[in-house]
Amino acid sequence: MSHLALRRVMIRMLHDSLLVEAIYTDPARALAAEEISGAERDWLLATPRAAWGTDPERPARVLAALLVEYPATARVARERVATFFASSHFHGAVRERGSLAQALGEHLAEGSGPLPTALARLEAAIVRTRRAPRTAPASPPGSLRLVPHSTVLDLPCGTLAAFTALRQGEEPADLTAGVEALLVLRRAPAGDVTAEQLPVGLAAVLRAAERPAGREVLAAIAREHGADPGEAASILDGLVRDGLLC
Amino acid sequence: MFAAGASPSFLDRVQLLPRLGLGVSTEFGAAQAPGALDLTLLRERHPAYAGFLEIGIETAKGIDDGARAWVTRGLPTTYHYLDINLDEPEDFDAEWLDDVRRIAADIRPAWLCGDAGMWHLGRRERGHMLLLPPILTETAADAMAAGIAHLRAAVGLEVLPENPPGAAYLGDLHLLDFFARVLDRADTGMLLDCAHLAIFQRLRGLPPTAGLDAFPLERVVEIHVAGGSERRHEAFAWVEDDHSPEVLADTWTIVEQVIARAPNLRAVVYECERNPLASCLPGFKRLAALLGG
Repeated sequence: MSHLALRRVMIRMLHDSLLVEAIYTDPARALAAEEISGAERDWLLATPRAAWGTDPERPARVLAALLVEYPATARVARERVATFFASSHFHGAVRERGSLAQALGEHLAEGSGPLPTALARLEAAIVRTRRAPRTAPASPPGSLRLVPHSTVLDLPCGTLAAFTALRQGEEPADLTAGVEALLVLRRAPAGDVTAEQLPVGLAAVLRAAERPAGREVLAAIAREHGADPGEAASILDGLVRDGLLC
Repeated sequence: MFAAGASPSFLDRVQLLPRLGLGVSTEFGAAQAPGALDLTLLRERHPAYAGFLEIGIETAKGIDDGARAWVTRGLPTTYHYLDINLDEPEDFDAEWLDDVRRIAADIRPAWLCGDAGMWHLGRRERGHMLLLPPILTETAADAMAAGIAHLRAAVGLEVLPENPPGAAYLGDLHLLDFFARVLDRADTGMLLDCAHLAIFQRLRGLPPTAGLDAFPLERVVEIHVAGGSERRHEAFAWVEDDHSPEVLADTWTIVEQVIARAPNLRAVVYECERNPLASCLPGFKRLAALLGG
């Protein structure tokens, strides 16, 4: 399947002019990690270099499409955004048949400071949740698990408020000390994705259910966080009714 | 890899395919663009130029109101996929195949067809669409043939690969030799895009019809004809496949030879969907004359 590997090099060349430069300057070094043959390398080099630049607006168009899913982070990490196509995250996503949107989130979450990092992690979770499978595999009998179209994550306090402010065109407040637990959830099989803050106890239950967990285990966690013995079971039933556990 | 199934040969099956004549193409939103071809007007005033509608489909978008109106009238269609990399087995996921079957049951196309290269990098996602030609090697041709056979079996309709456009074609085969191998291995027919072929021949410095003599023209079921614009980027000259009404002379040369020599040709699309009717009429008239209409 080296034709697929070669095509993925082509894709990267169409987005990253630095890679084109590197390949034509020192092909042995630039292509050393690629699973392509010597003949395939020669085909690349026999192509006029300018052929990779016939659509110079493409990277900007792709980036604009991807940033639709990072409206908050894009406002506070402009310089980081501009380096995406030269990043290992972009090249890795193409090599591994991954998601450019998720790769952009990983890129933005690195090296941009605490607020951009927190926002990128939140928006990347929204991206992942939006792409989660439509259907969930059944949990083993007697156990429950978090539905695949939801994510629980811990972020610095103030992340959700900053996210909300930026999406409304307002200036965000600074992050504060401590951690807030957030639930990212796709409401219907293909519906909107929402983010909300979770009470500590509920976050603990949902986090424990990221892998299938026995109802008794989850009930015990609920009780540890203050639920009455009889209340824990009804909390779990409620989470199932609300479509958070299955 | 996919498992091949037994069936009558394509040259027998092709006799059952309808003759659609001259038609037009569309894709989601194309008819709403300013100055776009008015399908209803074309059908009313020049029914011979609108014998069928080739609907370009991304399953995530479905079909737009213009295509819906055509389908509702029970008029002939073909299904032009815009979201499958035929040579990547991972691309044939169950959800996509279900969507294709559902849409095909809705629009009742004569067959499936479309560019046989890469439609999207990685998964089907926002920002991933990028049409690239196949790598022109025997290995890639065999992988593509397996994908075509798989899709045909999964949907129950003929699947006609189309030669895609490009500014760079890599590989050791001529494009026509590549597709001849695909057609043989998949036992299928071809949608030969004459404008895309002209682009390839020019990039390789070859005459427009180079390689046609050895190509199995009896497998050509449909052709595309479209205008293109000559561009230059630095010292590199190339043709943009912009579907303008001005069809290049090289393309006409190919069209004329193929129409004369393809005994199983069933359909011709003049791809001019984003242009006003008046500017498209000379092209339609010339094609109709070539088809004997």
